[in-house]
Amino acid sequence: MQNNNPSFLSQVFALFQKDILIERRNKYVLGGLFLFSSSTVMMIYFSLLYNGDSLQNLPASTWGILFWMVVLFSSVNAVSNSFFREKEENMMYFHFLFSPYVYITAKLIYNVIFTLLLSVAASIIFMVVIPTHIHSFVVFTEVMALGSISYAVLFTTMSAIALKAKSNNTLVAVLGFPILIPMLIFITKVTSAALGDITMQELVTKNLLLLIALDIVQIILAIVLFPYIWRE
Amino acid sequence: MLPGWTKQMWWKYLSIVLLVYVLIGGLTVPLGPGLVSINPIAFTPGAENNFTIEAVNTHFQTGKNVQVFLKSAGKYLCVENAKATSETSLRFMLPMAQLANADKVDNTFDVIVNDDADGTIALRDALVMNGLVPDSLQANECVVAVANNLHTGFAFPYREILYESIRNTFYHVPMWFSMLLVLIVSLVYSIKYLSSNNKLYDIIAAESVNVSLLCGALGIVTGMMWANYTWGSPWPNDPKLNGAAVGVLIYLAYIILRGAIQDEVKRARISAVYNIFAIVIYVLFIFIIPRITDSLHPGNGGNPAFSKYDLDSHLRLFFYPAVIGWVLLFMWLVSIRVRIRFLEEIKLDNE
Repeated sequence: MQNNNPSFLSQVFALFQKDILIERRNKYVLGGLFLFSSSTVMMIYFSLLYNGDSLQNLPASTWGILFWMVVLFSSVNAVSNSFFREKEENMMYFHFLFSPYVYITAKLIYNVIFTLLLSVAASIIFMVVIPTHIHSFVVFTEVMALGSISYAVLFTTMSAIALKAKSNNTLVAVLGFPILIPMLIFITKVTSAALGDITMQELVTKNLLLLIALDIVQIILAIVLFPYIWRE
Repeated sequence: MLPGWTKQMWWKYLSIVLLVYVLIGGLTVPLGPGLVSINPIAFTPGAENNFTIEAVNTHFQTGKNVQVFLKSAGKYLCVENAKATSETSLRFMLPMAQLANADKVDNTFDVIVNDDADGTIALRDALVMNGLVPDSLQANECVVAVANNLHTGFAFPYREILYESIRNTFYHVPMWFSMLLVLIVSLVYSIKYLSSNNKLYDIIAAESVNVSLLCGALGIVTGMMWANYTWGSPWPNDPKLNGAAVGVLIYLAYIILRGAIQDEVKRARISAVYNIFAIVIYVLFIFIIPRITDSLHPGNGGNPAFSKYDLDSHLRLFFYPAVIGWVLLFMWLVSIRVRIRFLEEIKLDNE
């Protein structure tokens, strides 16, 4: 940063690049996450396979719920990991270098993109192992994006809280899961609709709008409240 | 310094007065008249059928003009020899000639009784006709002319399924109102804490959460008992019940979070942030969810508004005071806990 007064966006981008760089240096962490998702999918697959014809008769709504559960656990790990790997000295350094708004924006963007990649990867594995018919690809893409944003924003905020509490991943889950329930209801509903569950079709637009509203509220809250978490 | 409302007494006395009024009035006002059973519950067309009706809190003998009708598919059938055998039971006969109309598909009948003192009371789908409806028989409708439709005495409505448990309205429903209101108090003090760093505000926010958890637990317990009697299961899949459960989970997590942080200032700030984040999402949730799903609760299926549902005017006389009384009582509890904690802090500072 040669420029004495770099713009907000360039600062965000610098932090974003830093996270990418760390990720590239520790490829095993990334690999570990994808392996985590795949093993969870395989666990679900084998549990279904050896229980009568549950694999053949898997309803679209259950498919959606199982899928989002896999993404849930992967993203809790991924997002909290992006906070907990920061050393305390580093945090102190960032604290003097950046405004809290820059830091949280960079983290949010990074975690949203990362969770989105995770959910795309998980959906591909899921589709291959437990095939299902996607009725509306557009709705499915929309709900993937909005759901990943919900997960990423919520767990980013909760990880920041848990980090300051000097706690671990468990606290992130304990704090985040109850708050996620409202979002999860809309996410799984729209997913079922996208997979062709006819009873859900009518409410797609309404649920998507509610999900967008909840995501926007979450992002605003995360950005407004983060300075209070950040302050030492 | 403690905020003024924690020391004022008038609203605490008001809560006692209101709750005593609700407790005494809510338990002593009788239920209105209602039909309990009819015997036999089925009849065969083409034969003479005699029935007895059992009821509660009715005035069949003292009330004048006892009339009995059978109603099905919007048509009324007259009965003969309706005669009160006591205040709460009567007998009537359904003659051979008067039978169901030919065009009806449904073969169940509502039994409706009217007298001048009790108004119109009914037992829905109480009577079943055996066999198929003979096509040749025409409806022998009777003209319904009743003097008084409404019960004249002061009583709570007699509702099938609910019966005496309707009085739980004064205890179960206000728990939910109290929980939300106390949570909003804690939100206000969390915001105040973040803008002022006054330790006292953190104490008020934390104690409000504790009390709201108590309200939530009481609301769930009273709700489960009530649901077990009325809906047949202590945990029906009801969005409002689930909403309360989610609230309890969120605020148990809040307590865990407070326990996890040693440093006092940090604990206050971080838990205030979590409280604000959680309550905004939670309030959105409980206001959205009942509007998009069906609830067993009154005012269900798209409209959670309270005034819309058929809350009886006699119930209202006790329900609104009950809500205010319980909310004030729980705020009183908050103020006591806050004052205890405040004294403990002063003691710690002096040591």
